[in-house]
Amino acid sequence: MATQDDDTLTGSVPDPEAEPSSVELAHARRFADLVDKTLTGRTPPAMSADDRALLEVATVIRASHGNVELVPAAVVIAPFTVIR
Amino acid sequence: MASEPATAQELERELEQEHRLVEEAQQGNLDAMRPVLERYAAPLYGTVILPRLGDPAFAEEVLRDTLATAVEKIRRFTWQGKSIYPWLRQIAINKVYDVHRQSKRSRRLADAMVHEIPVESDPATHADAQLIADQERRAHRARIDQTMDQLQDRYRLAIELRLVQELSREDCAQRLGVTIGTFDVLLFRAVRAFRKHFGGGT
Repeated sequence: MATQDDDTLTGSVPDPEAEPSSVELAHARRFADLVDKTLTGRTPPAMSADDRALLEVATVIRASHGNVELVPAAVVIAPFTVIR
Repeated sequence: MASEPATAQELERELEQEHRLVEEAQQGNLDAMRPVLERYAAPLYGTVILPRLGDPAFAEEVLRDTLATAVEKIRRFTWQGKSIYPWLRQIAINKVYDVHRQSKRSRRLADAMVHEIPVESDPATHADAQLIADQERRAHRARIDQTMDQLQDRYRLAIELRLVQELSREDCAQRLGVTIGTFDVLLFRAVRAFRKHFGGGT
């Protein structure tokens, strides 16, 4: 039996005008909240696999337009603290 | 990294400085690597790792791992009159492949995300990291634009407004003449559709 994750990631995508089901509405709202948080740098560490897959795609799109720029200084310092 | 093109003299000077720092590191002073890594961390993150992973937390981890490996293996690096950046980039790409191999994501999406972008490095002009990063950014952008072109207009617009222009949900909904709830559904479907066209839908 297909899971909801399977449907989200591999099922067909309805046309823009198609009426959403209550399940899709709820999922869309949850995804919108995740995007909100991600755009403000507060991506939650825990989320479902399908939400994570979609959020990755959103991030790839944003990154291609230079909208995701961050390199904490600690990242660069890390190798030295690890090595020495 | 500065986005303005550097002059040939500046590039030459930066390359000489980089060569000296790499040599110092290879002779045992690993601290010499710090400014080199600081310079290249941003382009590695923004144009090599994140666009191939899509997860900022994972991307940071891979960047950290890449830099650690570079420091660890610096003695194996052979200076060939070019920047160390292509070497760092290759380490990063290998790490990204490892992450994709270990994860359970769709094979097609993984293939799409880790696609190899040919980098034209011209030794005669010392093509620098900025040039390579810009080239890579343009190639990623072209693939994204190509996928966007395959989407229905309203899906393309939803992505453009929310993820590229980063307008608020309210503003996006207003621009499309729909309620916020309807815009949420449009964006949700738009990202799903994008993913399918990008390579992950089957």
